Amino acid sequence: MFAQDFAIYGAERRGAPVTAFVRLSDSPILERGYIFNPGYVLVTEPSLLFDPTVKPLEGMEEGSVLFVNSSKEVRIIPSRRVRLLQRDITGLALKHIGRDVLSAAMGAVACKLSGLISIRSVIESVEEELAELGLEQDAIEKNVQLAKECYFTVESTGLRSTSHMPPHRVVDVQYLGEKGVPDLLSTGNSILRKTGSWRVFTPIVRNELCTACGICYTSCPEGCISLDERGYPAIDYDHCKGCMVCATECPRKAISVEREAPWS
Amino acid sequence: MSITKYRTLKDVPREEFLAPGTSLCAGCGALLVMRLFHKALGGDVVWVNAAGCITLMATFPYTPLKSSWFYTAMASAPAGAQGIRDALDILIRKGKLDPSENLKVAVVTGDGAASDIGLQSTSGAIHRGLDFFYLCVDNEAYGNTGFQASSLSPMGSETATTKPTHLFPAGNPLPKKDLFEIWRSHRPPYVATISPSHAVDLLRKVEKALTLKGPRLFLALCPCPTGWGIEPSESVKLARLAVETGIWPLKEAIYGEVSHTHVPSKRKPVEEYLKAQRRFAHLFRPVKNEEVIAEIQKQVDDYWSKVER
Repeated sequence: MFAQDFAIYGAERRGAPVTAFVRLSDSPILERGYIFNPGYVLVTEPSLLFDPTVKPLEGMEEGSVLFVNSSKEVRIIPSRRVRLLQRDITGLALKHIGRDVLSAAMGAVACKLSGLISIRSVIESVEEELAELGLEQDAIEKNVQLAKECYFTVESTGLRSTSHMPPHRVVDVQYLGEKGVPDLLSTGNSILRKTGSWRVFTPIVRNELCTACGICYTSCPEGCISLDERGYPAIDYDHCKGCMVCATECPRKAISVEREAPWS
Repeated sequence: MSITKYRTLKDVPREEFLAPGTSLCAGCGALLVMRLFHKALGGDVVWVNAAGCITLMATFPYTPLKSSWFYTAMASAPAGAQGIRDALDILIRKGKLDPSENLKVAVVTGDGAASDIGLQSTSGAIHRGLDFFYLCVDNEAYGNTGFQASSLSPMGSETATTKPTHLFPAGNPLPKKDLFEIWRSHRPPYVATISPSHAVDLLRKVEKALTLKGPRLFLALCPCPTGWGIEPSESVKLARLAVETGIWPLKEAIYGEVSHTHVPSKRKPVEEYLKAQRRFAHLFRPVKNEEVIAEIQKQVDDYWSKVER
């Protein structure tokens, strides 16, 4: 089997959404470039489903498979007969590793879906690639356990072969709203980018414990916390990346860390 | 000691000059330093940046800044600052720009541009007495390109280019350059070290620098969750530990005269700071490297014995 893998390289940092592609074939792959009509789409975070800069559902065709990592039921109305699967992979990662690291897990899911890659290959790859990154043996072992559970909880859908039609168009470049167009005088327009989708855990201020000391406000790297006229904090959840500096710094432990925000 | 308007955290200015939505890592220490620094500096600023992580703060077409931004090559941010300062001065002198619309010029670069690639142009700008601010956000490696060692990477740390090997079991064998002293040797009006964990100290130093004219330089320790191997939630905690262990002295030098703005009453052992970071993990596992840890402790003790004398 032949494989290609590549990602859209951007300036984004740890925690930011990324797009990556895999092309599999039983003959050498001469095609290059992005995949516009995927057989599979794996979405690691449900808030990305309708993100206008990502558009993961675009180009899905009849028989395509959409896998979404979500703890809650995902409701989408596919325009074509797309098969939807979902599992709480983040929940499994938290169980096995204790943190929201999804690479081994989602890799295992993709391998199982394809019906082409054995669990042995998955385990070998996880061990080899994580060792290359310098992870310690116990961390690698946890990732292997995670990959195994993911592999065995997901069913195989088989691979839909796609035509070898070359793509007809270049990538659309999306700008959001009039302030996103190239304009040297647009100041502070990064607010249009909702970095709240980076977050897995959500900080919640418990007002009954808060003393309005202002430490969380001062130590938020993103400037996502504002203070009301009495000095009590309010968090901008559209942009909070969930770094949890506020929760660590709060001397009264008045900021709790929740996987699911109560309002979601 | 002059009178300051920053006495407690209650005095941190509420106005924000950086909008959220940047593509920097969650928990970025440099972003927090920029945010606090900007609050004290005010909005009438042109930032001049040399390539680094902070460059990606303003990724076209999006910018968090409500002030102006000028991007230069890695070696030449202070030269860029000179050009902007001169242009503003000439426009004002010719009556083409109202003096009320004058702007401050501030350079912001990482430690690679400050200590390696742009050191000559910084030296030149200080030597010429350029009226500007320089903020070095020091995460102790070339974070933007994958955390390769810079000359501000500390001895004993692991970076992409100083992996612990059988030849160099301690990782980086070279000491951290003393950029504070390099800058200070030019006798500029103001040089200071700052930390995101000590916001009031940071604001006061910018406030003091605003009363002076000429080169005013700041070296900020900026914990980097990705490169240091810490949780994003720990970045301010690590900056505080660096101060409490004495690894990061908070000080200033006015026309070359050094004074410490915070002397830890009882310094914590450096081990506490080192142990909390993956980039020093090889000093503790599989076998504890007592020799290197003791050497790091000794360097800190030697430093403070001269201060405390």
